[in-house]
Amino acid sequence: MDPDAVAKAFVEHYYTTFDGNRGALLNLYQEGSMLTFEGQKIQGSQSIVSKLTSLPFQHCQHSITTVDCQPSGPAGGMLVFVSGNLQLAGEQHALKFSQMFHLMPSPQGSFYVLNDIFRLNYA
Amino acid sequence: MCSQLFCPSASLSSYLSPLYRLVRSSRGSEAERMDPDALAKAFVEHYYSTFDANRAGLANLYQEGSMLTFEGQKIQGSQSIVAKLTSLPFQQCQHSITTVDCQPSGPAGGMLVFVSGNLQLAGEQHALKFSQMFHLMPTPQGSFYVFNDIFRLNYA
Repeated sequence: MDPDAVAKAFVEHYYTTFDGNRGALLNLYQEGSMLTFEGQKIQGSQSIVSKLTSLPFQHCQHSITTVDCQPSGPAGGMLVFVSGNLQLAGEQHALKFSQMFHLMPSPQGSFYVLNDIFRLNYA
Repeated sequence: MCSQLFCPSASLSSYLSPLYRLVRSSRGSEAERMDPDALAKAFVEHYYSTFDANRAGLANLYQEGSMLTFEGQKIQGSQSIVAKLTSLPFQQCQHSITTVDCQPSGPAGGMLVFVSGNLQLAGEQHALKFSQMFHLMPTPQGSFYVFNDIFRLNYA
């Protein structure tokens, strides 16, 4: 698959899963995965999913504005840089965010998230 | 101090050889001894000071295999990257950084740096907001260069 198509497919899958069933994000991370969420550092799929499922909102909807990707080096990884909006149920205005993922190939021929950094973009 | 950490000159392939890894681990450069967060901050400070004062000086921070995606436009190689950055439609600018996050990127010893901030162009009333990510890779000399660079403005 063309890298841009892989990146778009990943982004769609990630945010659909996030918005539909946050617990299922567990499959996308591994033990060595790292998340920095608004400056807080978390490591390992269990702790990461624990953090994401405990965020103070029940329902949310991500809408993606831009997706950029580049190969990250000889190990076959891919960097994906996303910007978009995050609408929380009950809130009048959507939040703006930027997020970067470093995807690494898995032995089964798919990808998992090794690095994940999320930041809100305040006005 | 900062500039010495980020002035690579050798080729990309050499850092992967086992001999290089042995030499590198025994030499213990200043960059390697620094705490990763401190290294990321030092890099960010150096990068944007250079950008704001002498954009052509950024050539030292990229190599032939480096990639930049600037507002969706893909550019490869330090010469083309610096040509793009020096031809942006403003003479003077000032970056001010709001957040810097970093993480190690895997077994090759790379580091991911995720930045958000403001970009004030001379003569404009309001600053632009931006996000940028860098993937820094180690050089044989014990410093780092930019392998991946992605820049996006954050519109209101």
